[in-house]
Amino acid sequence: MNCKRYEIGNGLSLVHIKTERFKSARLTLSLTLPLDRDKTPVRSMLMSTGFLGTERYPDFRSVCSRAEELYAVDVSDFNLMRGDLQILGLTATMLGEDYMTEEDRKNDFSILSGVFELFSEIVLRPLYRESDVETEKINRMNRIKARKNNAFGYAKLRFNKKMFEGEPSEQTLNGELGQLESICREDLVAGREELCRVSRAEFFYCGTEDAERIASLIKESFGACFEQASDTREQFVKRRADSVKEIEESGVYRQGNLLMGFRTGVVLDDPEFYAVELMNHIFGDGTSSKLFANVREKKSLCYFCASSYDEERGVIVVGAGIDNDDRTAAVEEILRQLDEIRRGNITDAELEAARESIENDCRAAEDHPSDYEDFARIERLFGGPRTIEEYRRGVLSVTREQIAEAARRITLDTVYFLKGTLADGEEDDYE
Amino acid sequence: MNNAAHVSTRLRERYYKIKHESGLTVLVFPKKLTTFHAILGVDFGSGDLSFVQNGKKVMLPTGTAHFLEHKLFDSEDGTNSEERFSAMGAEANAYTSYATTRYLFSATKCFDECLAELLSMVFNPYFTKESVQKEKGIIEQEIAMYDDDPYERVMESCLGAMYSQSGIRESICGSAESIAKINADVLYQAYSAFYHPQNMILSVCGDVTPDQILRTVDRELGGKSFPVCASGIPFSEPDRVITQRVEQRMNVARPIFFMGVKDKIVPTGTESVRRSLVMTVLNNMLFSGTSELYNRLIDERLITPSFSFGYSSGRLGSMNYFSGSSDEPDTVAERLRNEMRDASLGKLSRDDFVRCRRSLLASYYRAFDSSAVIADDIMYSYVSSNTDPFVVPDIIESISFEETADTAAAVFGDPDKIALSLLLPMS
Repeated sequence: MNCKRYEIGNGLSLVHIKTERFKSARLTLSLTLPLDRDKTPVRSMLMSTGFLGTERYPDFRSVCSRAEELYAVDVSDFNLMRGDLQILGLTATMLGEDYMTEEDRKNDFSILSGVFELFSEIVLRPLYRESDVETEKINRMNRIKARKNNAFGYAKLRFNKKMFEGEPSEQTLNGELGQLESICREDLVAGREELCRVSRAEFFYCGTEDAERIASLIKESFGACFEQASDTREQFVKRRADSVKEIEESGVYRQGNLLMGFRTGVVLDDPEFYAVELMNHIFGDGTSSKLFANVREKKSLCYFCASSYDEERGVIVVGAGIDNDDRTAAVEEILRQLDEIRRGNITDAELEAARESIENDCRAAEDHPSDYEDFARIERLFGGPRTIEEYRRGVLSVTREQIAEAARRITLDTVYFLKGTLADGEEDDYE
Repeated sequence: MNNAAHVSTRLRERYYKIKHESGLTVLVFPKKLTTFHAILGVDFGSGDLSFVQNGKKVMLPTGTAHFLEHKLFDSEDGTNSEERFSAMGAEANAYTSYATTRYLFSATKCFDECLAELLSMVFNPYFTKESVQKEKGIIEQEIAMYDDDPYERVMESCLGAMYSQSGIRESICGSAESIAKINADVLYQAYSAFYHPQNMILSVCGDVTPDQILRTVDRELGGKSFPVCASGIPFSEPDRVITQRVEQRMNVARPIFFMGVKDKIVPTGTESVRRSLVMTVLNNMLFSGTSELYNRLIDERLITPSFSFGYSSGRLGSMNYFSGSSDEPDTVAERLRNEMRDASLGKLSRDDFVRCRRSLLASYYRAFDSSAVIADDIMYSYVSSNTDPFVVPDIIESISFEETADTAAAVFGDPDKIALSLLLPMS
């Protein structure tokens, strides 16, 4: 698919894909800002509270009803952390207008125009009533309290706190309970105004409409609401671990959860990025990886053991759910597999499978507009390959020695273990 | 072979349904997408715990279907199918539900080779004492992972409270104790009982042709003989739930609830699909973001946006369900009961009905953009329910307000069909 970026003025840009491939179209508005310890929790509430009422659609029910009128458009808000940036916004998947009823077509009903209008209501004309802000705050506080409900998620959160202590990405999007308690309506009003001033606003569209029509709808709906924000990046990257932090905590769980964090020293716009990407696939990304084949299949230590590469922060994280007693064995096996790669002990099958997996992902992106959206967004914010094809070629050109070299550069930073305190077979309390 | 093309002018799509000579039902949905998706499903799931084969009654340990799903990836030469799928850049997976086990792959090239691998994997089982023993460590960790998931726990205990005979009252993975009883003989016994092409559907979506698929199916299944398929033992499930309320305590921040409303089991076929669609419309009228009740509960902070609901149906059980977290789960349960009672008495809005029916139709159209969704959620699911997926839009449009009200009375009218499962914080 041909993906093109347009600067359309007033601080707005559009990434556009024209295709007849799908019955539905996708529209996204992304607003990007640097993480800010004090402001991020308020900003995290802006879109979701906007859903609770706008000038034209005064409550959540009328927002939802409007979405249903627009042929059940699936509209949702998102709030992400990538590197040291916060990205928030709205996304919609809507039925192609070809599939509307004859009557609606005759009456010039437009799903797309309706979605733009709904987006602008939520972003530009939210009511932020005191009661809605309070409801949203309580929902978020409940979510913070419920973090421990998900054992692996909780372990990951604690791991992040420990590994990234003192770094910008130590923080969470929702903040902590104390921060949320004091948030009031005025904070959201001010936060939204600031969002328009300092965020980088970009639209993404994939569907049958030309870029001109989308650009015109953007101008019509958002006009000069956003100021031109700069693209400057200030990403904190720690290239090497100082020493290994070993942390053990416990929770009321049956299973132990292990996380190991490594500094790769390499981020997206470094020349060695492709080597680390391929190395991570061989190490622990998927069923052809060394971790799956050895920690799970050969040693039967876990149901899942996988690694992921955070290319913005230059970090690889390995996670596994294991029996408490297998902690040492699992850590040793994970490190042993990394050593194998460092020594260049990568079989042809492992190398080929990793390359094929990446090639498959690149081709499959043709069927997933969201992959193009994410790629374009990350390229804009963090640099690195400009197209999926450039990424594919870069990864495929990596040699076995470059992979081993990338693995040799990696340093272990943090080993975190959340020990489960419930003994096997012990029932919690059943009535 | 009976090769029938089904065409939908409304959807601008076509598919082929073919009965292969082995007995396998083959569904082919040609679609110009880059990704191919194939799914091979067997009508045997974790809830099928007893059967009769050659006149003999057999009982299976809980977790057998799921264990079998794990072990079918192994090959006799010591390799496994995952390696071969990976070498072709394909992603393979499998999952077990209460009533089916499905094996699948998604690929962007080497489609014929991947399909051959899928068929070869499922139709050439190989288990040894050692390999079965080794798998137990992996599955025990999978069981522990689900044990730590409060939403899984609260749902499972609700099913246990609702059903007395159906196998869906048992956990899909089984327990450490039940899987200890599984060995290679048990797996071969279950395999020979249910893994017959007659009892299976192959569903494919992508840039493929029916002839292409059939060539591979012929090559992999041609000349093979299969034992007589076993028959499940019919069970008679009471209409009402066994226990109306169950509680557990766990390390959770606030109470989590799961409420199930037991519905009659409708035999597979258009009647069952129709009931599911009517229930989807009804649920959206009463409990979605556009409903009065949902907004009241949110405004009163009794539920959070994570509140979910739905209707599921199958040969082992049908139910409507609600799930979420709340500081006052009993109050939420009471409001839901009241809403269901009112709906069963005909207190429904015609405007809501029209809006929700139209919305369901739009969602159905939108689903035809993904080879995975088409092959699995649409083709496999509807055809295994003996329904042509292309008649679904007609069914949706033919649903009337009166029928929706009648269904509300039938499903929501009896409070003794409702079970509430609560997961409460430890202190």
